[in-house]
Amino acid sequence: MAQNVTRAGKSRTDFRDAIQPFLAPSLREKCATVLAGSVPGLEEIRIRCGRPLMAIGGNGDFFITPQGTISQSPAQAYLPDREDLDRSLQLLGQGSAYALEEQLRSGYITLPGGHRVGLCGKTLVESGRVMRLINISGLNYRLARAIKGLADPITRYIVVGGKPAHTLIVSPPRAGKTTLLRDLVRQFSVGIAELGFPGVKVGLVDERSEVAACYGGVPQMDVGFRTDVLDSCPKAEGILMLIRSMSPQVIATDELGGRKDIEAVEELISAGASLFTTAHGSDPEDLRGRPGLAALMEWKVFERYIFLGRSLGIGTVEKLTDRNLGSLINDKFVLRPRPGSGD
Amino acid sequence: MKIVGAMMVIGASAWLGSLIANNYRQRPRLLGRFAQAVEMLRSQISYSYTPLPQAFVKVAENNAGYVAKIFGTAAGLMSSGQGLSGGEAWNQALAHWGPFLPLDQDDLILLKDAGNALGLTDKTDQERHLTLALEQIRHRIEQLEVSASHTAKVWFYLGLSGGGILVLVLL
Repeated sequence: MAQNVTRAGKSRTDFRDAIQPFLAPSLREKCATVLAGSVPGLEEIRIRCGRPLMAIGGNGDFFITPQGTISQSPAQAYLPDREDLDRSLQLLGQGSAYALEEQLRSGYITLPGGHRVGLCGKTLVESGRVMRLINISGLNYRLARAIKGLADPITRYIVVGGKPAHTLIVSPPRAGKTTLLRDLVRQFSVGIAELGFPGVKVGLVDERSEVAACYGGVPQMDVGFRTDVLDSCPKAEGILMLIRSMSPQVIATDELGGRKDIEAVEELISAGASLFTTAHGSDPEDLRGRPGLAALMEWKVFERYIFLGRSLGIGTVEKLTDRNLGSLINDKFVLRPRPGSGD
Repeated sequence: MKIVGAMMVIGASAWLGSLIANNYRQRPRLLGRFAQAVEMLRSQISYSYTPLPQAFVKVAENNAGYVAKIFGTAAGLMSSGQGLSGGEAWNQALAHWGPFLPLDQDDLILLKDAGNALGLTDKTDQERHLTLALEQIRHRIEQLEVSASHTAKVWFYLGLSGGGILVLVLL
């Protein structure tokens, strides 16, 4: 996996260069070896005030010591203090809280390169709506990875009758659904030579800036040259805006499920576009428990369901089914790019 | 020869007096330039949400002399990767250039206070802070303008008459 990641243009040097300037000076040295690769498949660095400094990798959780080494024991970990968090926050927001109002409301900040930092603290609520976060006590530096070609083993299932099929990717957290969606968007935008599929116009409604990871409005991830991105836009409104203005042949969005979203999907189907989307869950029963998604299943909107898990590792295709949930594959497998894909 | 010497002493002391007088006239002028700069900074924050390092640079580019130097230094400090807040960077810049400014301690405290809350709060609160700072600076300028002209004259004539007295003593 690491090789593919490197080939896709996100080397460990990229991670270090992208993340380090946004860590407090006191944390930079401690995290240097982790960012340089001491934790295999590094996914996150967790900074919680007064609690152990942690690195989350593909093989589990590690603790970062005051000397910058990694340990399995929380007792040996460095405990970040208020100063560490405040300095990091100043760097993340360039010392300008007013420029971060929207991010402090949504709970994350996107960094150059598409990496993002999740924020936790005390929420200020007005009329039932979160207005902003104050007293930030936890930062989660999440490393973005674009794995070009990840969707290679499944694209042939997604093209039905020469058209992209309405597709729902279902997975629990950290099993790769956003990464897979991103690569599907890219491949259908650029075109898939192996299938003789020409690229189509793709509209991406990226409500949480996770798929294209826009920074200053510019996608930091390769989502294909025929892809139009609506960044930080509510899904339902975004789908309607794209239909009206950009005539997309595919609309992609992450984590569909609200009632308004389902109404927008009806419009999307009427407009003749295909839908690529994702949902949290592990199996069809999880989806049936959600009214919006259950309705779409009932109407047999989705022509393909891809159930991801981690049984064989991150990105395991546990099931791949048609609209009647009939399996299209014999065995589960791990998504991997074809050799040379994405170069 | 004595007359030439006396003229030189009187001229020198008058020049010294006018230097001090000029310093008094410079204070409100410089504070006026700071007021304009703070107003520009407030606009950058209000209308375009420009992050402080870039806002400081823009203000520095549109000013000259010590105002530009202080804003430029603050921008550099904020971009240095130390994680300084806007107020910290502003205070450090002011501490660095303060000794070169024709301002007294009260003026410097006024400018320091103007930057204390920089970047720490939302847009509305930043506007409020900067508006208050502007009012205080302008009030200070008004006070100085009234007294500066009088004080400057006093220093000039003090220098002149001091030179005269010195000449009489020496003769």
